[in-house]
Amino acid sequence: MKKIYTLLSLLALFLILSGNLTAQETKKPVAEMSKEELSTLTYQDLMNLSLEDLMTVANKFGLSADEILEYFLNKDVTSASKRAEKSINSPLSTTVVSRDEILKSGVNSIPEALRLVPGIIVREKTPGNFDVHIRGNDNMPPNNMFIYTEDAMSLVMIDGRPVYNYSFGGTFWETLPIGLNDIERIEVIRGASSALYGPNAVMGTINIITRIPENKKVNADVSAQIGNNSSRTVNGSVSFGIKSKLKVRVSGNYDHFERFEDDYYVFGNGQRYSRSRLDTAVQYWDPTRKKLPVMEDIENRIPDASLSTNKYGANIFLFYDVNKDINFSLASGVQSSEVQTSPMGNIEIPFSDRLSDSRYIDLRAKIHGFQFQANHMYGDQDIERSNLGWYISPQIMNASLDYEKTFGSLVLRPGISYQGAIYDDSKHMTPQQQADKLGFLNGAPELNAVAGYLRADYKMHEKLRLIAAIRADKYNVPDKTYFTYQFITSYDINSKNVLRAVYSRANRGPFIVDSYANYDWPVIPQNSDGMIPYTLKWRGNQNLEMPMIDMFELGYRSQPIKNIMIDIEAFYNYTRDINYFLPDSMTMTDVYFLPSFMVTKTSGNVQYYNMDITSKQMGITANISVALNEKLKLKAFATYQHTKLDNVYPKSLWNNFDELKNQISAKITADGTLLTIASGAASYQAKVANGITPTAQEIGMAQAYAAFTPQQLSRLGTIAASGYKLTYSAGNKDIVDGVVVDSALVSNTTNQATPDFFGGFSVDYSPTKKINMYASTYFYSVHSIIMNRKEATVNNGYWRGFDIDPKFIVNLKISYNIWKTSSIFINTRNLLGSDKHEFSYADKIKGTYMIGMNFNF
Amino acid sequence: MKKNRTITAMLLLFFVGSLTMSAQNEKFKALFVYNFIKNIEWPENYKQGDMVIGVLGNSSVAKELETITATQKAGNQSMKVKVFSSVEEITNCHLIYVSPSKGSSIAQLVSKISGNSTLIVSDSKGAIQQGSAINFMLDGDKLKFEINKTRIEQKGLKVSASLLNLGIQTN
Repeated sequence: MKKIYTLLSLLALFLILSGNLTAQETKKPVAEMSKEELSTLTYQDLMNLSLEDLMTVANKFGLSADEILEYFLNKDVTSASKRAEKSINSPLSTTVVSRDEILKSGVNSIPEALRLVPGIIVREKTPGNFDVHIRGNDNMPPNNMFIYTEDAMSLVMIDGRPVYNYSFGGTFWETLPIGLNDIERIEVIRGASSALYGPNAVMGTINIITRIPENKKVNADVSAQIGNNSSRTVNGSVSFGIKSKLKVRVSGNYDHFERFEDDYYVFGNGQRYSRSRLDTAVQYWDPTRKKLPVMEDIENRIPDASLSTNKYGANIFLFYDVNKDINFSLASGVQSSEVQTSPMGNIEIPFSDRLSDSRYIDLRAKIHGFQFQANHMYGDQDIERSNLGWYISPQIMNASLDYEKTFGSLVLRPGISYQGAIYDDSKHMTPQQQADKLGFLNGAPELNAVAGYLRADYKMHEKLRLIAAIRADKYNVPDKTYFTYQFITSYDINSKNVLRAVYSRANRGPFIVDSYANYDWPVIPQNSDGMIPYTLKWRGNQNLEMPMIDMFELGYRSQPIKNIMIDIEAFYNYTRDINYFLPDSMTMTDVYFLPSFMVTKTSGNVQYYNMDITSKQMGITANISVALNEKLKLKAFATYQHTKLDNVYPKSLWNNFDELKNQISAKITADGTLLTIASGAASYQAKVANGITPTAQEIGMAQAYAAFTPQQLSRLGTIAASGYKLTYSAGNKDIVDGVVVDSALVSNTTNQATPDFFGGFSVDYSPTKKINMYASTYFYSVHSIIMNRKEATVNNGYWRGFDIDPKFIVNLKISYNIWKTSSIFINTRNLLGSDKHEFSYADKIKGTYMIGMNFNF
Repeated sequence: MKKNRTITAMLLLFFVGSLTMSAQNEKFKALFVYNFIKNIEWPENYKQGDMVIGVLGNSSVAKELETITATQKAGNQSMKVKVFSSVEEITNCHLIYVSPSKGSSIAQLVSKISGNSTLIVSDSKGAIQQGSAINFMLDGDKLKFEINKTRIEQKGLKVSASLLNLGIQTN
């Protein structure tokens, strides 16, 4: 900690000392200036401009732009209201990260750029792979599968195209085809807004807006950096115009990061082992699991233990402007990625490889008041490499049509949309494998939703604005229509102080696996060296209620003086209908009593349920941006939150299976006892008949047999009639039809997986026109993720979370402009080299120190 | 925990403190008005004394204009801003900016100043039809202005071609 303060004080001192250095340069014509350059104009400059130039400036900024600093403080945002407006007027909790900030800050990925945004929890699992949560609701439900650590309740879009992972929910960040170089800005909306964006915009929405070439001149840029631990990234693009109306941009990106360690945490005993020792490690904690095939397979599952991220993408963007009322754009691209990150299923170590190859095409058209968008994404995703059941080919389609019409101070925007997702695993399997249900789906099921929506934006008078949005989504699975809505009031105390209130209801959409899973997972396959084969029958549920959230939010935004912007929001989230994945029964098939006792096959049935668990979150996020002058811009933000969970069913999947196994064991033991007594009694009778003295034990058994009830005798008859080969089943006694039968089994607790306190601050400093220094920090308080490992619970009741210690990450990029906008730079991520892990069970994330260059032609 | 509370308290304090401060937002409109003056020539008898810019109604444009007039001149004339709350109060001006809240008073204003060389710059929809000479309008997010050449010239004023070209001509 002390080191950080020293560094920060030094930095502050440097900033103050160098604050007086100025480099006056002659200004070029305003028509040729970029927004950034325009933002350096002083008020005196503006007064001296010709009307023509003044109009250029005014119209580049929009009306409410103040002289110098407005651009930095008060960026345009379209996501919140689906039309361009100033941040201060945005009716929702909105933050925009600009291209300029992305470049200056040195972030290496889109998730890392989100560390510049208030209210977002960003944790790096392995280098280049991140967990991103908007506001929280992490690890829901707790103590369940690892997939429930993903943020399935936030919607990420590229230019309005959802890039949601419908298999299990969440976002596979590495599969986004675009690179940082493609981004014009990232717009983040905190809070439920599915009435505006459709399903999954529950905790928030992230819309990544790509660049549009500014003019028709040929423009090329390339940036590349290289650093320790084999880190390297390359980005490049070319844009040009064809004839008078068509603009083209072609881009490519490549990222490579490696782990800082090559060993693995093992759930079994909480120790770390090298890959080659994993087999012995398994033996060490549980001798009966000495040859678990999944462990033997590690060489195939993770061929390169050190690789964490290797990804590339290429895109083409076409823009065709017919006139100011009619324009078209078309984007298309491919991506290929291989990452080592947290797994989807329950395996012995918290990592697996995930591969993806996908393509997309996205068409957008704006014709007068109409906006049309249609897109298609398809590809192959191996979600857990070399695990047959997880090799899936998704196809995702979206289409929407909106129309905007203004009636005086009322703006109406009705629209319709279609979303469809088909996930096909059959093409990666033989017919026999499909018949054996070795795939998740063993087919190509589809989820779709047709929606209609209406948004009304009414400016009641100069100060009061009312917005209402309603949306109805008709899903095929569950076969239901969900209504979501959003009511927003914003009141301008004056032009620089805005109060706003939001109430909204939003729902998550269905997942393919939750709905359609039909998977017989051979946890212990046949012929596993004497172990009893064990199959987990993983079944979907097409009648699940979708998780639903009600949100209340109060916001206040102020620009008290021209160079300060303050944004404060207080929120309350009530979440219900959370889906649980839990065993409902267990079966042991072909249990032989003769010639000797033998269990040949075990299977567990796992189902999805809606449980009564609810989450109540209260929090406050504050954000202050200060532009001291054109050289020095500061930003600080923090969130404090508390989440209460009610009616938590604390037992894990493993606890449930243990109880089911115990139930079956009791039944087998009872039958075994009956058979033993009967056979003892039989040998007693045989001995007596032959005049041999029976043993005391035989006498006892004969007496016990004589005392058998008619039920016991009848059971014996059943066992004999079966040929001494029986099937035993047990049902979950705690949960019947998704309801926990005994209220004593549930309890109220807090959600420990969302940090109470998190935030960051940044200093953007340009001592001269040639040098920029961007220091940013990100921090969070201690928290803990709880997973359903049986082994993880044995020491301490049901739950033993994996603590994530507080971390304070400092990043610094120093760039030097060598020519026009071309620069060379030093980029350090986690400058102080804090080696704490940022995610439960995941890797230590150390410092990355890179050098690079950025050229524009 | 204690540290968290301190930070939260500090943020709140900042927030409450800033409530009392307010600010202006109509800078560009004022800059446009200043540019109109630069592009228009008044008759000889208006070229003496101060150049008077009137503002009808409550608008932060007035404050912005004062910032400009404090340092700038129109040719040799110093500039002065006068704020009027009603048409009745209006005295002789070179230019009068009619704030949106007074948009309905334009017809009354036109008759009051008939015979004067006072340029009316308005900021409400349909104001040109009521007799305004220049009217601000928003085209999407863009600030534009409508301009009526005949009406300006009827007042004995000369308008530059570039100003006419930049505006949306309504005659």
